[in-house]
Amino acid sequence: MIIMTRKLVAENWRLEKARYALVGNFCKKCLGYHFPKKQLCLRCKTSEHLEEYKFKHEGKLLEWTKIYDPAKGFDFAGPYYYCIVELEEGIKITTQLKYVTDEGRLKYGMKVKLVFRRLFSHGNEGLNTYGFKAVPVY
Amino acid sequence: MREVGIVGVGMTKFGVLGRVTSRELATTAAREAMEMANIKREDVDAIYNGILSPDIFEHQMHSAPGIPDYLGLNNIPSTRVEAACASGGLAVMQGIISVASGLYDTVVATGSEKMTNLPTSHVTEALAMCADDVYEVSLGITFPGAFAMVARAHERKYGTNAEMRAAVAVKNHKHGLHNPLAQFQKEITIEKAMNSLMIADPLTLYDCSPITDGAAAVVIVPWEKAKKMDGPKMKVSSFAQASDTMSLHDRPDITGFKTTQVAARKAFERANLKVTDIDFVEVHDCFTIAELVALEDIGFFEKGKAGSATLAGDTTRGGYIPVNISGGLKSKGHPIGATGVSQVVEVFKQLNGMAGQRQLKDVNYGMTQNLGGSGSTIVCHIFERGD
Repeated sequence: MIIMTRKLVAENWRLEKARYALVGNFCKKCLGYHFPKKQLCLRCKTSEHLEEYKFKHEGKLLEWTKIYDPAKGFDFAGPYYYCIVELEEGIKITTQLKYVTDEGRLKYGMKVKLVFRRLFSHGNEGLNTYGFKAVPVY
Repeated sequence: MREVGIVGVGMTKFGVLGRVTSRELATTAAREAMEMANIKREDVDAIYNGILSPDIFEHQMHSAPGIPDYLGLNNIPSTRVEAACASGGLAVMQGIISVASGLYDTVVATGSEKMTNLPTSHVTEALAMCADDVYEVSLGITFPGAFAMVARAHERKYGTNAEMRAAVAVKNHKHGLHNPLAQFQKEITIEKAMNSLMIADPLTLYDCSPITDGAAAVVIVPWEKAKKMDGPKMKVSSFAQASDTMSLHDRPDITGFKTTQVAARKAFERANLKVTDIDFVEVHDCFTIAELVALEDIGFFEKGKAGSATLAGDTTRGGYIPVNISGGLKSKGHPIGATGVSQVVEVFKQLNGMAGQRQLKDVNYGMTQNLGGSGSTIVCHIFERGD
């Protein structure tokens, strides 16, 4: 990995809630969800009605690809699946799709659940960075 | 705002250029453009340089003053412009705006990049930084991966298949044959493109633009001044820029880019032109699917129709709308910061009859579309003949 900031505790620490607990926010006025956390509701244009919200770990698969030529830092595990997931609350995230045993059974709109996994490491002496990956529910 | 014209262009060879810095490449292109414009060195009021990352590729930040320094133009303003792969287009646009405003009378807009110092996986990492770092990059996105998902979504909704995407690569390589400055002068076949190495399913090696070094430059002056000059020239009809969410997944629809739709519409409105007035276009084919999506978003074809139109030859020389006659990013190469400027260079050469073997006949209006990130920034320009 060529970028120094990736190796810092601070970069991981400031993202703790979003990355480790999927925390975003919910607007009590328009009943809309935001992820990552926004400073103001993008529809109501105010922070007045926002509260923290922890997203459920379930959603549906909207799009996917298999990346054969990863960026430096993600080349430890060979080719991997990468996807867009729409969570139950309607917000979308991208992440890796794990445990794909049969690619032919991946379907647009199929159910996926999110699991907590290592995203990348920084060699023997560096940090491990964790977050959520998706798993297909056949 | 006053009307603006371009009176000189320059471009280095695009490719793997060995022992040279982006600063030297930008200097070479700028000198060529200034020579063609036949302007005095001391007339240059300011420089804009579109460049993605001299920091990562060359360990050089604060790169902008380096260019006037090498041109012997110290003390004039020089500004780095960064908008991912749209850096070059945006540098030209900033130059146009600064002349249109009346602040400057002669501006050199350059674009440059020296990418081949790093191994491919490092370049992939550096380019991926143009996506949302926290919510895309740290999860493992690559740009081939992002555009692979665009290709899949487009295929599911409209049936745009691998053969149609390969037809874009074949066509642009064919166009590039006649561009001596292009990285590749090599014809390929549909079969070869479709059966090449898988990069991000369904995009293969031939769906992707290469890693390239190079630079391009243009000289921008007020149109009143340009009219009195003897050399080649073209008039800026209009320009427009748009932005969208950093993350691809935050968009309601990924079968197109709202930014291209908005920027193109604004550019047509400002120029009081219709899409049918455009004689040829240089679009941002960083991936084959990106060319098809751009042609639909600008409005040359209905949504879902660009693939079959490309297969039918509608986007080649002599077709309904010649697209990427320069070879596009696919064949000409994609030195990030230089790309948007080189699109403008191609339009200039075509409108002035300077395009050699690839010269189009009877062209009055040319358009460019330069894309940054996963379409988070788009810059469009329209130019017209100056004579």
